[in-house]
Amino acid sequence: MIPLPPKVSPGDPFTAKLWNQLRDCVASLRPKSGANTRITQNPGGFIVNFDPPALNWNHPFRILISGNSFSVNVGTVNQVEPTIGGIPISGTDSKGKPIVGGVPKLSVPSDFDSESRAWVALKIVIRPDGSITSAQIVTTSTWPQVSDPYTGWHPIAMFKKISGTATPYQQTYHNLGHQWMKPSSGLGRHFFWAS
Amino acid sequence: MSVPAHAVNEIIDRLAAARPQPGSNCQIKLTSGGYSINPLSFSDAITHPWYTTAAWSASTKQWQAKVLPGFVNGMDPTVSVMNASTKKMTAIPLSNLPFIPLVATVDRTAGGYPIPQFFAQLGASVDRSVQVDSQNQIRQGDNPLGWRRLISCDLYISIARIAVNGTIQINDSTGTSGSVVSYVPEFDLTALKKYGNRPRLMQVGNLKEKQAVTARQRIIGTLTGNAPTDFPEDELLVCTVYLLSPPGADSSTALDGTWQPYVSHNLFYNLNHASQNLATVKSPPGPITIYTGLAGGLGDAIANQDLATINDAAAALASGLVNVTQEGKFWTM
Repeated sequence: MIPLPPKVSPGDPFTAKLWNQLRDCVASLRPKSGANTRITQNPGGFIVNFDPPALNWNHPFRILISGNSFSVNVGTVNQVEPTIGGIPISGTDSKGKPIVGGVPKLSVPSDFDSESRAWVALKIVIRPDGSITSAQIVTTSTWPQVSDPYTGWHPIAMFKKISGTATPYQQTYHNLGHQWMKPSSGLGRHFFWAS
Repeated sequence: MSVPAHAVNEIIDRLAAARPQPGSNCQIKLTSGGYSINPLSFSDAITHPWYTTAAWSASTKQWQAKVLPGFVNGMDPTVSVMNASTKKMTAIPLSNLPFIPLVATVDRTAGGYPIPQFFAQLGASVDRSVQVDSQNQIRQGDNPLGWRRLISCDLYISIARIAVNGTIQINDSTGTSGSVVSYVPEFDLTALKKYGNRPRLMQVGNLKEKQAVTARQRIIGTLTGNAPTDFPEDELLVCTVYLLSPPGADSSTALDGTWQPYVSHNLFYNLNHASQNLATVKSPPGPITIYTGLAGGLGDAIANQDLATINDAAAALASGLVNVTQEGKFWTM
């Protein structure tokens, strides 16, 4: 900080040195914007706005768009790797060898609901003991989906069509745990959580 | 040159108050031409679901918030904003990126609400311009030079659910020796039918003012004819938007573009939510016995503030309500 002029007492002379110190101090108050910073000057002061770039976080289930299709980063539900069209989303088989055709992809949705939304969803099918028999990643324009005791749905991302462009909003950032809660009556509930 | 000392000192104090100070992630360097202000590190910067910014709208003369869409159970909330053409409040999906006028505010410097230390260091404090002395006389006070006014608004998620209210039922047919007092829970589906399961983004001055109804309040309120009502919604704070006036404000300084916005986030991830919502249960919940004893005994206990009896009844009700409560939970997904 710039040093302030010394305080004065009654009777002290108002000198040219003090006046110059005051001038320098006032002049130093003018803000200048630095990197990624915007400053808006107003009569009553100035507003500083920072424009930080988005963090590039390569998390599980992150959707990666390329042209009109997208792939999904490896993520698991109860340690089970989901598939796209029957191919594990990592593009490797159970022995870790690359599958011919590479990482599976889905098309960016072209079918949207009345609010111009479409979802990328994880659909799991379970056995009566709760273990997962299949986990697929699909797209749908219907949400929420109707679950039954053996089929559960969880959102991975949502596309929103804005001005003709489908903008993705990531929803899931972590691997998932799942538990079906058996009810005393009704269909029960599928619970998903970040694990 | 002859200038009164107090005038010069006032200028110096004003200069001191006008120097920029570093806030969060902010670095200030003094250069020969002025101050250079930079974030400490961009690598720590992250935009996340529910990321909120606030800006002054010169056209509407309002502070407005913009919330990066977050999701609950896979759905983006709606937010109620004024439709410019119809002049009616309309529910807009958050994924449409609406500007949200901040209208439900509280004045933290007016007293009654805490002022975070961060803002106290920037010059916000309880307004002392009008004070009541020991003689109950109103007198003019002074705020510190450079005093700043602080206003805040809470943005929160609301999901409608079934509310559980009830009535007290006294059964004297158990014999001459006493009666059974029961609490009969009743489901109120009004909000759930009106709003459905779609989350809504709402605003209020201070969300912490809302508290869940306790079993004790239910009993005493119902017996005294002032029954509390269960909130028909689950709520979760998204963020608090603070608006800080320029230095040298007074208690009547109005919001405008010279104020400084700060956002304190409470949510960083998308959410799942579940409540009981036993709307499909056709049989209503049965009465919960909360007192067995002499006729009128519970009422007398309340009138006489017999804490042991009241607490026993409240404990019995709280235990019974566990099976019928509709309060839901949010969790990170």
